[in-house]
Amino acid sequence: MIVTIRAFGQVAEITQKTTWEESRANTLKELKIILQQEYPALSEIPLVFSMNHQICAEDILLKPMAEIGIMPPFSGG
Amino acid sequence: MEINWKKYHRQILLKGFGQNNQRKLAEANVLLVGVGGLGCPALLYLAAAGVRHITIVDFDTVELSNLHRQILFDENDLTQFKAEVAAKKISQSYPEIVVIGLNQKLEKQNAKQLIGEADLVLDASDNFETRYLVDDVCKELNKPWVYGSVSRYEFQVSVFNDGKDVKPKVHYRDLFPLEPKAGLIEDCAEAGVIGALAGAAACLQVMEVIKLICGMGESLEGTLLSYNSLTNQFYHAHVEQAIISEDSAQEKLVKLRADLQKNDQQILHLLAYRKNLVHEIGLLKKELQQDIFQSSVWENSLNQRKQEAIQLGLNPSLIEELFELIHHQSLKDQEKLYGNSH
Repeated sequence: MIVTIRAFGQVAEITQKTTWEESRANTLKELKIILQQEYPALSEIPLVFSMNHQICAEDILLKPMAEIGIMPPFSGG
Repeated sequence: MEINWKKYHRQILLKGFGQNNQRKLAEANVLLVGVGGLGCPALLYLAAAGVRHITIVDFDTVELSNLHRQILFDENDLTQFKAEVAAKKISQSYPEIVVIGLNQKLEKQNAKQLIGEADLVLDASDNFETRYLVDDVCKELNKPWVYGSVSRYEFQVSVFNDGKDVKPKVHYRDLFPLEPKAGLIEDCAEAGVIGALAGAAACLQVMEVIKLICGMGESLEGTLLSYNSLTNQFYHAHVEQAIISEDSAQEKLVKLRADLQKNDQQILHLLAYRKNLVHEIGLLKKELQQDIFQSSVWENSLNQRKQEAIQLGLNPSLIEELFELIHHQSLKDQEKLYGNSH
């Protein structure tokens, strides 16, 4: 399913990009695994996923053309 | 001390604010956790807005590398305790405010008492240990807290454990259940930060504090608000109830069926949009005196769709049949409208 990824904070630093298209996954969980294989450093940090601005559970089906936000926690104060 | 209404005239003047809300601010008791890049501007705005009971908890001392963003401090304050200096400066500027500076780390031993005495917490800390402690103790004592944190050119802001706009209440642990291992997420000392970005985050945090105290507007509870200063983009990510309470199979079925309905409705809307696209293309073809039916263009596009169908796990011959039907109808529509099939 084609989706657009929006990466935040350290996720964008690890992947070296803030937005890109992905078509290799059907669920959020598959997407997460694919990205973690490609960027092993992503496995190290906790991540929140949103689809079309809704934070959701990993077993959810990806909607066509959805925007997937990937957010790590921030630390600085 | 009586409220000097004149001092706050411009905010009292606001429709929906008034003297009543000014009194709520004056009576409120806010715990500020950390007085660094977020805490300094937050403290200044809390004090200026007329919040009259502020407790600052911070164990750190002022360093030269703090000054570009921790705007309460200057070079005369180096090596002094931040909480103490901050409290002193705010007391001088705002004598009506009861401000207490505690040179302490927020820890399990003091958190319950400090949070217990406050109406709400503004978390301006720079580490996860403190943030998870604030989240846990606020949950236990039923106090709302306002989250803010920065990462290089970005920040996040949210509100947790309030429950006015979102039920059930949302906690930081609902988003990030486990505290990240030390050293995995960079802080400002490692990653760098521009003072104005921390200031922008702090201003949003103070607005949330004011809204919570006064019961105005919609709080950010249930929304993780991110901002990227390089692209000027705000991004709202809303917490779906599903991550808080797990749905049963029956509830999932109802939701999935509703999604299916919506999906099929979207297919219809896409077909209607396709019809409009074909109409516009037909007009241009007429203007350019081109044939309505251009077999190589269509075959090309049909082959692409079949390839995509295979990739998406759909039956390619079904997709071919479907598109041939749709295409056939498009040609008939164009012929009817323009009457020049050749």
